[in-house]
Amino acid sequence: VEEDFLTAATATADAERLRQEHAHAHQVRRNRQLRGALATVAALLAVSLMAGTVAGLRGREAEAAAGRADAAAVDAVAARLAATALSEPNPGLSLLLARQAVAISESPTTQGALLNGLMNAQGLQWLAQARWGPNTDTFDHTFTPDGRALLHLNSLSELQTLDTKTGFSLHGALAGTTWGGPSWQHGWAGYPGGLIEGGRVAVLSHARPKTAVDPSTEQPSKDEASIELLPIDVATGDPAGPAQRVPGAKYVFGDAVVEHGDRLRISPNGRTVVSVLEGHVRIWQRRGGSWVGPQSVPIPWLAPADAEGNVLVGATFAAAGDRASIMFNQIGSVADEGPTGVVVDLKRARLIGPSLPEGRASALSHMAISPDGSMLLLGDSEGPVRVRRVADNQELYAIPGQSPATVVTWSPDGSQVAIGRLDGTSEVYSLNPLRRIMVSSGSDRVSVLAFVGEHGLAAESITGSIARYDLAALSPVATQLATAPIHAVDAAAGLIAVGEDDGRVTIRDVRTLGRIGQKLSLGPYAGRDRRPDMAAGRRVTALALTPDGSAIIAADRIGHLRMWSLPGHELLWSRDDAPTAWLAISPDGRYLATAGNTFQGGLPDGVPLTSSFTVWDLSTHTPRLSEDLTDARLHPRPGSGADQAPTPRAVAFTPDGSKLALPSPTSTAS
Amino acid sequence: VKIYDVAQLRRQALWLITYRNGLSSIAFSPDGQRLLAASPDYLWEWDATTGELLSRSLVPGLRNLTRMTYTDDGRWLVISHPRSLTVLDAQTLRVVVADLPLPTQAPTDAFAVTAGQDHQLIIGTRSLLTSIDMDPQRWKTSACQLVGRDLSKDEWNRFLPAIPFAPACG
Repeated sequence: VEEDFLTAATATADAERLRQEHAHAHQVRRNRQLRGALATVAALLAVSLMAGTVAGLRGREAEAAAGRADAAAVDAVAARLAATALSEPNPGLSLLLARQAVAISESPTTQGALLNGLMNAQGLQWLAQARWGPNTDTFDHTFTPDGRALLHLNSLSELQTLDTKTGFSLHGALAGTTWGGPSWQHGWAGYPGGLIEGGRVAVLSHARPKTAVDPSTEQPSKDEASIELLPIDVATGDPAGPAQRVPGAKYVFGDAVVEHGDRLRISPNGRTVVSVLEGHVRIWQRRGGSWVGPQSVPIPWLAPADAEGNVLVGATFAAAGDRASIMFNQIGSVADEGPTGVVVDLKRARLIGPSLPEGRASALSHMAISPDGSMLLLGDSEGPVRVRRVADNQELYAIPGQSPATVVTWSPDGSQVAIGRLDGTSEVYSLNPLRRIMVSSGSDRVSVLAFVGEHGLAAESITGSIARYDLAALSPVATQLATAPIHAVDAAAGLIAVGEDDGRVTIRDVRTLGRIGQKLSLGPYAGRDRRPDMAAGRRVTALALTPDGSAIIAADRIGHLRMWSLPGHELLWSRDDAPTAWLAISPDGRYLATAGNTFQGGLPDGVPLTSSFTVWDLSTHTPRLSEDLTDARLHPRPGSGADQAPTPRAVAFTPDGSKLALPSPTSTAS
Repeated sequence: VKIYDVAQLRRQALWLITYRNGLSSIAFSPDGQRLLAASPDYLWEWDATTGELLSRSLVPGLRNLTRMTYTDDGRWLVISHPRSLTVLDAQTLRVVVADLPLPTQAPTDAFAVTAGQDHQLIIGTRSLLTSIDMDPQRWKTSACQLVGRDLSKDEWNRFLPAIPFAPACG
């Protein structure tokens, strides 16, 4: 008991230290703000004290001064509370404190703290640290559907159920997985096969040598082991039934072959087991209390040489249990090519849909089949994540991203997807339309991600950090939509105009951010030159909606200027000789101001030759006022990149439209 | 900064401000009374009619400014940086939220920021279009709804021991 107490006490101290470490990164930024806010408090207190002193000295003004002092003191209390809110690690409490500060004294300072709290509300409920060593294998961990436990395999091949709130092991190493067996068992002694019966039972895949181990070599005398399944009660850690023989499932080793074998995955309904072995998908069905199979489905496009060391690395099942997506990898392959995937019809035992990814130039990093079995979520080692229809491989959604997607998953109802990335970011999107609901940052690769409970999300990083989010507690002040890269944006009359790559312009509704009509294009551009400098020239660098929303004007830096009517998309005006960095429409809609450069070689990373601005009359589409801003001392300036180009960096009309202001980035003295 | 008279279509500048390190952005206040310009270190504020310098404010992060805009209600001035936003009180030009992070995924994210309608702020990045509600009155309601509870008596006593218990979410 004493030892238990000491262990628990140490563990609690460790947990506290880890929690603090996690909070630290967040606090660095908050503390900067805190310092600023505290300075404010000090100043306000000084004012308050001074006011109090003055009140004491001057009798007749005492009452008024005391009132001012009280007000200043109240402001100081509110500012101090706002500062406390910024450094409070508990997100809910932080927000309540900022809210209270606003209630005590509504000022830009307290409001700013409230906005900060709301923008940081990413639904984080708690962080815990797995107490049994970091993950070893990305795809072998599973959260229970209620999110309370995590089936976790550590680097000693010990399999545990961890309490996600504390990170502690619930029952120690589960049956048959305790380390200490002969070395050949490493990685095969016990493997998480999946959760069944709504997450109440964990099924372990367990290799059992067919013959006794030879004590002189510590090797089994035969070069094969059979594999059986062990059901474990998650709540107690005890066996939930006898070991189940899986006929033909085997582990193969020896001098002549690469060690490989069936890594079994069981469907959540408990009726199907799948594996990949030697170029075949293998399927077993549960019939009358025993496993029947395997049915072997060849993977036709796999070269025989590639097939030997195939091993399953992950499988997801449609809710009906009739389809599965299966990922497999090459054991001991020289080139780490990443996993390959197939979709299997489990009832008819055949592959469906296209092979994934097309060709062997694999960029697949993770995949998951939708609960209804009709769609695939495909993570890419370059960052983008795609949703494709299984039937015809048509891409339905493309979710951009720069950091490789390490894990992807569907919500149980199929309306949302979650993505974990190498840089530690976790994201949740809703589909139809594609909308980003949540993003949270982390520092290490996200290795396990699951929708849990009513509206929860659970994530584990490769270093064993477990995060739990509440998707019902996300910031209501920010609405986010996943889009192509945006270079310019304007809003007017209930519309948003967005300028993207390749001269594309999208019109959206200002409230819903939903797209209105087809995309417009400044092009067509000649050819499909993908050089970065060419791409830069084709960006929509500037655009503006007319104040009444009846037209849009957009331009790029290589000369295309277009005006379209809205919502009709009729081309009203078009020039190909107006390189534009900035533009603005006067509030009365009568004038357009443009500013931009011409470049040597015509592309915007060349040497800027001229710099000018023009005011156009929009009723006649003629220039009414223009000025050459070219500075002879700066043009041309060899070697200067686009960033150094003396481009006029903004144009602004006064609200009454009578005047126009233009800053020049040059150091011209005049 | 050069100010041109558009109505009269006059070619010459009405008044001219120069700053030796150059000005990176510019905006008129929504009431048209003031003109704001950003240099690498300071925000400069002039009377838009006379050209008289009203204030000069040291604001961190101006060096990597990408865009600058007032919200439609004129209450906030928002400056965008490659990976974050700075929100200033438009009246005093004091920073109220520094380094407000927007989830972006690459340092090359180009921020495009503009004021929408009804206190909305619209932000475009490399992968996201974001709309932020900039109405402080709605922030109050949102915060209470989001947390779904009020400060407990214990929490109140911890943070505001000298003040009678009167939690804001009520």
